[in-house]
Amino acid sequence: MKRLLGVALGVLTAIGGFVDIGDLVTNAIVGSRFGFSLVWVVIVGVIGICLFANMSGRVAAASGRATFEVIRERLGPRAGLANLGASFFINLMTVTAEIGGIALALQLASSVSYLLWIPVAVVAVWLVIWRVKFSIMENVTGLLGLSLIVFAVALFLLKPDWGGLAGQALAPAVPETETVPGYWYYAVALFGAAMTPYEVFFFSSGAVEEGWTVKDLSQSRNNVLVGFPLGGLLSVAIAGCAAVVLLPAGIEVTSLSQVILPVAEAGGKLALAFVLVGIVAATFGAALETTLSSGYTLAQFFGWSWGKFRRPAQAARFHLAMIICLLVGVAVLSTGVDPVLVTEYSVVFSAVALPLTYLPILVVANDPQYMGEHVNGRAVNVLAMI
Amino acid sequence: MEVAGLPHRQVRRCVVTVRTPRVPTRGAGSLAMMLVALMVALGGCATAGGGVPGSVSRAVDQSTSAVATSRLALVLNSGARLTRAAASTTLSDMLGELESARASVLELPATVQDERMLRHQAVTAIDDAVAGAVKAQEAVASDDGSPSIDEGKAALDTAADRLADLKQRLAGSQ
Repeated sequence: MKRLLGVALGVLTAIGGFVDIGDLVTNAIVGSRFGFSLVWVVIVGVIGICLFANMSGRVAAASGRATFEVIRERLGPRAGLANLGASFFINLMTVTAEIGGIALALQLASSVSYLLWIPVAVVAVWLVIWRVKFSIMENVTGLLGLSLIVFAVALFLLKPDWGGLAGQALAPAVPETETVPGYWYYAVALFGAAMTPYEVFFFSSGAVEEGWTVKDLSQSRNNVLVGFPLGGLLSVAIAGCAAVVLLPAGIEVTSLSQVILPVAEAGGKLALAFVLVGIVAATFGAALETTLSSGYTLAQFFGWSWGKFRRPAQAARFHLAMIICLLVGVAVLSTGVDPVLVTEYSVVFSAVALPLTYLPILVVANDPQYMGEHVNGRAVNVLAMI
Repeated sequence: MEVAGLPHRQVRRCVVTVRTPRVPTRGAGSLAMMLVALMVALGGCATAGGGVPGSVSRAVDQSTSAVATSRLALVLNSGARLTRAAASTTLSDMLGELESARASVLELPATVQDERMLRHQAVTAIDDAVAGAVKAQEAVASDDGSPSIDEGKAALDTAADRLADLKQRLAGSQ
């Protein structure tokens, strides 16, 4: 029974933790402009993140070390530096976007300007990283993030033309009002939203934080292979709500406030409450993960002591690096730059940096010196290369 | 130095070279640069083109979207499906969109009479949209029912019609 609860918790956390501000905004933009004709990209992205998250967890469980540490050792400092540079820059943009997302969601709940919520969000993120245990932090935000299931509920309540949506998904085409370059631009952005690099580095470092061994591999695989696809369905539901309500009204999503309108139309203020809780939880959880991921990648590259399981005094540079990242995020947002624009750029850069961020993981996962008998199978390699 | 079993002069200096296994970092880096160039090209193609009429058309689309969003927020708020906080935040965001669209039209280098007229019509239509969004914002915030929700909707509908007319004229002239 206890084991079953543990499995359920892991899966639920994976579902609730899948969506972040990049998924929210990008899926809503895509739904409001292209309907369901880019759903195939979500499917490809989910397969990709399942493969690489699983690989990353396997590297950590088999070698006892986080992926980035192994990358630097296995591939050398030059490859490690290229990976670090790309991942860290995207992490920094993503931290900024997630903090902006928390502030925007709180503005929607309170009508107090998001600029005033930014310092509150940053302090809250730092306090949780500093004081709250890793497993509690992960589970609470993941479970609260399940509130975003309200998008799926809303889609049903809106009574869409399911045949029409299925037709768009199964026979994707560029709508008449859009251009082919625009279609492919958003296809790449949507793929980047699903494959943000912080997820795999956080996943593997988290495995070390929680002391995973090869015995935990099957649970990790369940969490990923069940949780992430269900989380992907949430992404599709976000796009679906936008396609059903915003697209026919000629509304193109450019702000977070537009993303929630279909949910309010479907389910009123109760649904609105769920979606706001879900957005705050999802963006807060992602802010924690990206901040930690920034600390992990820097500390693992330079060989600093790292980990939430260590007291801050024992991993001072790790904690200082994260504080600096948060301060950079605040500084960028304080210039008044639109957090939604930062989000759009972060997902695009995630996509273009994929070769630098994910290829090293693939190399390491094929090395029996680190993986023992847990190296990638041929099928995994083929799928990962595609 | 003496290596066990060999006299000193027969010890050759062994140079052990540890080669880090070759990893296609350059290849990955080149691929990433190509993807950056591709995304810049795609993004540019998606938004550029059309000269002054093209830019005005994009500003009109942006304004039309903002007006439609404002109307939806107003309707949902009046039907008690959207809180006042969420509705007023949405309307503030849309006013920001309309200001951005207006600024983009004003910055256009209209060098001939036709383009100047087009720019003037676009600015007038966007100003109507701004007035409609402001009225909607006042209706949402109002405690005494003035302006009313219906007045807000009417102002937004007028703005939407004006933008639709302009869009039709732009489509006809292109």
